[in-house]
Amino acid sequence: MADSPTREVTLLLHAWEQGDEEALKRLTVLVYEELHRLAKRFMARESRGHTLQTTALINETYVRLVDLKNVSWQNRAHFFAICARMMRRILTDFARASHSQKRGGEAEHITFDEALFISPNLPGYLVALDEALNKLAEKDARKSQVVELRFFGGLTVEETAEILKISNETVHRDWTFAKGWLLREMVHEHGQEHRDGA
Amino acid sequence: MEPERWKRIEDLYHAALDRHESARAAFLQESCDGEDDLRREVESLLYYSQRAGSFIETPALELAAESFANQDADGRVMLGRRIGQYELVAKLGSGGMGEVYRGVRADDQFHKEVAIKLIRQGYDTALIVRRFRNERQILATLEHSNIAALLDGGTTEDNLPFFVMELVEGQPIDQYCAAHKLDVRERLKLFRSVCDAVQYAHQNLIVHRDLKPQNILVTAQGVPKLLDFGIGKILSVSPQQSGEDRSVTLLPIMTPDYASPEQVRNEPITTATDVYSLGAILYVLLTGRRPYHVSTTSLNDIVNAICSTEPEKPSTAVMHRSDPPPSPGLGVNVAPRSSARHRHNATNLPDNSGHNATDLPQATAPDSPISQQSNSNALPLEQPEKLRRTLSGDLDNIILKALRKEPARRYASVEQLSDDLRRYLEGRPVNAASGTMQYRARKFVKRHQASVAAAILIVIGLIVGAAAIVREERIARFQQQRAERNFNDVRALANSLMFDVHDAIKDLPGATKARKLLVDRSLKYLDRLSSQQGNDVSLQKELATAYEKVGDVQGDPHSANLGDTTGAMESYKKALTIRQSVEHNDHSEDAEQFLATDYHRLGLISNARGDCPGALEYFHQAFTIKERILTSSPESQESLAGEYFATGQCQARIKDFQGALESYRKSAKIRETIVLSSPALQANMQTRLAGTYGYMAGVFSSLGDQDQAIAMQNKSMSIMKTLYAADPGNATYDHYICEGYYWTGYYQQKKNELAPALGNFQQALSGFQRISAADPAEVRAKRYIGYCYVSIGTVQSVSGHSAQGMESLRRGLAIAEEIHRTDNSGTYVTLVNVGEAYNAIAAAYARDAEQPHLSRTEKVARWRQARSAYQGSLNALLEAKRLGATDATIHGEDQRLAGEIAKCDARLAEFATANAAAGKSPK
Repeated sequence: MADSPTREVTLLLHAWEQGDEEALKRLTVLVYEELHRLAKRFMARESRGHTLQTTALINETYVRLVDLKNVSWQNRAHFFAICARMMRRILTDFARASHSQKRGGEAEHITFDEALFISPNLPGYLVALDEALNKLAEKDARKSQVVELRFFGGLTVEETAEILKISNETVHRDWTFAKGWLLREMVHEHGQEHRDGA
Repeated sequence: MEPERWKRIEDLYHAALDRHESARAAFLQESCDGEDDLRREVESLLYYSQRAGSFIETPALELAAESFANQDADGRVMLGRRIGQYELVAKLGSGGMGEVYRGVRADDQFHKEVAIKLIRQGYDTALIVRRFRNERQILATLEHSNIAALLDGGTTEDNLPFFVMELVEGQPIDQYCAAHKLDVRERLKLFRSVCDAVQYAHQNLIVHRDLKPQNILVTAQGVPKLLDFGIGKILSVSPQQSGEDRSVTLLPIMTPDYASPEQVRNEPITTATDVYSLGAILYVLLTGRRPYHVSTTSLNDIVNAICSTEPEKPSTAVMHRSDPPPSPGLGVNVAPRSSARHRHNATNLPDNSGHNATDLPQATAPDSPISQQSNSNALPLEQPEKLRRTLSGDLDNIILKALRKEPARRYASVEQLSDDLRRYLEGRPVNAASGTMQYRARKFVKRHQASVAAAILIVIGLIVGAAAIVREERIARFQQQRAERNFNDVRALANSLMFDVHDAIKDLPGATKARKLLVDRSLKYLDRLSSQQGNDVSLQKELATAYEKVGDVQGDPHSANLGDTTGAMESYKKALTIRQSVEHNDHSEDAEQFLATDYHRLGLISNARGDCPGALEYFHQAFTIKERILTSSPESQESLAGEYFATGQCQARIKDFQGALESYRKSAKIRETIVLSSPALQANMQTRLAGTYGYMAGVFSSLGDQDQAIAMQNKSMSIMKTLYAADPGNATYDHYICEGYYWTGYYQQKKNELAPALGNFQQALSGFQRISAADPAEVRAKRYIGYCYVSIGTVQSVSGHSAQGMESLRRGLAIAEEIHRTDNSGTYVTLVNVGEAYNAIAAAYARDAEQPHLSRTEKVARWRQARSAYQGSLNALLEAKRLGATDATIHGEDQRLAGEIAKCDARLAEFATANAAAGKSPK
């Protein structure tokens, strides 16, 4: 792949670790570009919603970005974490930009149907999720990370477990719990009794 | 919430989940044992988990793919699209006039990031673009650290005007002041650097027309950057509507909050317009309120408020800070803001009334915490009463003077406004204040508290004494002000002469003398100013620039010049000395770069003067600096490669061929790396690399190694052929390839491989003829046609085809002479070529004359022809020398030619003697 940016990404990761903030900027651009390419690939697919295909495509993107065989494990984990974080930021920023009429000051809430994509409202969904994830991170950073890696980073349970150095089982448990918690946070209807008293 | 509770919730949740659904309620009832809150919390989570289903199971990117790939508020697909050389990668914000995107250069692996403003449909696109073209020259001259450069502009495929600007990430100045809780003095200082930038633009004859906090972003480093300079003028085009109140047409351009009376009345715009807007901005920065409170969107009311109402004194306005903020009023700048943490477009406006949202914001940093709507912009640390006292008096006067309705009664320049603020900061009397003695005495006492206190103790006639001091102070002050005004006027004038006027006439034919006059004059002014104020670095830099420009006019070999290389050397040396003293305190890369450039200029001039050792010295200095400041950027790398290349050329001229080879190799090595690492620069770098190889071939040939020369030339050719294959219409590539044939032939000729040499010359000839036919004005091709004929003629002549050869040679000479006749650039090169053609003809005759089968008469005739051609060559050479030719290639040529002439004379004399001898005997 002649135009694969892998070499550059690897160098940038190193530079960033050495404290070069410019490297992060450049990295963001590269990840952004790959995301765009990936988004276009998603669009071009025949059957939507085929998970295996999705995972394969996302993995291909990672491979394009980083020569995973030649990167130390630590760097790899680091890299996935950065990518997931960037994807989250890029997608959330994107959602915010196209989500113009907002109520000032209040947290974002969406309906059940929106959360389950029965009535799609992507910008609202992403903004609400981002806010809910921030709240979750305050309570339980690891759970928020599991969601970030899986939902934004598109990683499998196994990959997530490897990166966070926890068992698959723990990833499962965190995931189930976080789903319930986040969903409640996002679709919270005022006055509802099912509330965290805290 | 405490971690233990969280842990318990989690444990109970999983424990319950492990049980059968029917058993959960009982399990929780038992486990929570009266802690109803806890039980309800877990039940609630279980309830939501059960309903969660596919929630967040599909990766975000897949959900977002479609809209992510096709995004635009107007339903257009913008992200990922290319605008000019840039690809849009993110949206930064939007306003009534259009959108702002983050763009990266699509053809550049270094991804220079820019902001791209797209103007919505509904404007007179053709007019905007025409205006942009007209303004581009002026805008390109705006280089100021506080001004975001306008890089490009044009129209997209779907005919939307766009502007490409330097990307600035920061907060609008009002929000920045609030977020950083700046006090009055800090705000004034920040505001003064804004004034500097505006003043700089005014000196370049550019008025902003739309100054407002949203157009002044302050970076995280605290540097204010002005956006949209020049755009106001270009965009002052009416949307395509007619028949309405004429002031309607203004609204899309300006922001009424900061617009001057002349703007809303559609009267001529001058620099005073910007003074007014700056006054309004300062008003907002210091009071948290706008000068006018218009609670309507009616145009008449807006015009009335701006043109007829007097703004409240700032010191009074701050006393209303607890009042509710002004109503949205004009419909701009008032978008209710979300609490979102990442707000890329904090100034993003809903286009709520269709005609008034004017903003095209740039990137605003996340965490902009302030809504301008609230008074949180005001100074947080100061109590209203204290703030009132601070503003009352000088600052009231300064701001109100800037906000006067009549342009003529405002500050005459932004600089004066800024100076008054400086005076205020220094505790000196401000010009805006009424100049009463009482006022000045108060200022004086305040500033000289210690000495005045001493005076009280010592002097008995206190009142008399103080009055005297005040009077002296007043006179001194007056003189100083006059001097200052004078100083700045002269400086502005000098800069205007040097930059605006000079650059405007630069490319006019015959303007060289006028340029010299202009540059000389501005130089003189600047010189005098700098001797008055030796420590002003920016003045020093201007002075250095002036000397460089003078040097360019005097002798820059790359453009029309006065041929005064001695003067040019001196000017460049002066520039260098100044740059060195600046660099002494400023080790920035910029300062070093300027130094290197001066050394390079000196090198070029020395080289042009034939002082190769001197030139080498300067080039050495230049590349030493460039080696020191070398970065991995291809620009930096190439700059160094260029320096090595120049060094190599110089070494070749003094016949230091080994040195030249070494320098070319260094240059080639860098360029080879750039070619490999920067695919985007491929074509350009490949061309230069091919050029370097070509020059190396020449050096090998001079060293006598024709095989290496030919190999090198082939290397160069194969690069050019590849490039040409990819871009078949490219005349430059075509030209270089033809040159390659010519030089290959030339080296083969030296090896005495006449047949292949002839083939290459002929191939070159037909190529250059093709190029010349397509572009008759292209003189380089024509020159090569001449070379080709001369070389072909020589080869033919050497191979024994005398008549044919002579015909070719004559053609070559005719072309060289024609080029010389029509050339008016004053260069000697055309003469050198004429001389070479004559020389080749002479050599052919001389060679011919030696042929044994010729009759004596024929031999004499040929020697005569040879002599006459050598003489022609010598004449051309001497004329070239008179014009300044000093090349090593012609070094000693005159002696050689004189020798050849002498040889012809000797042979002719032999024949004469033989004739005479023969004459004695019977025929």
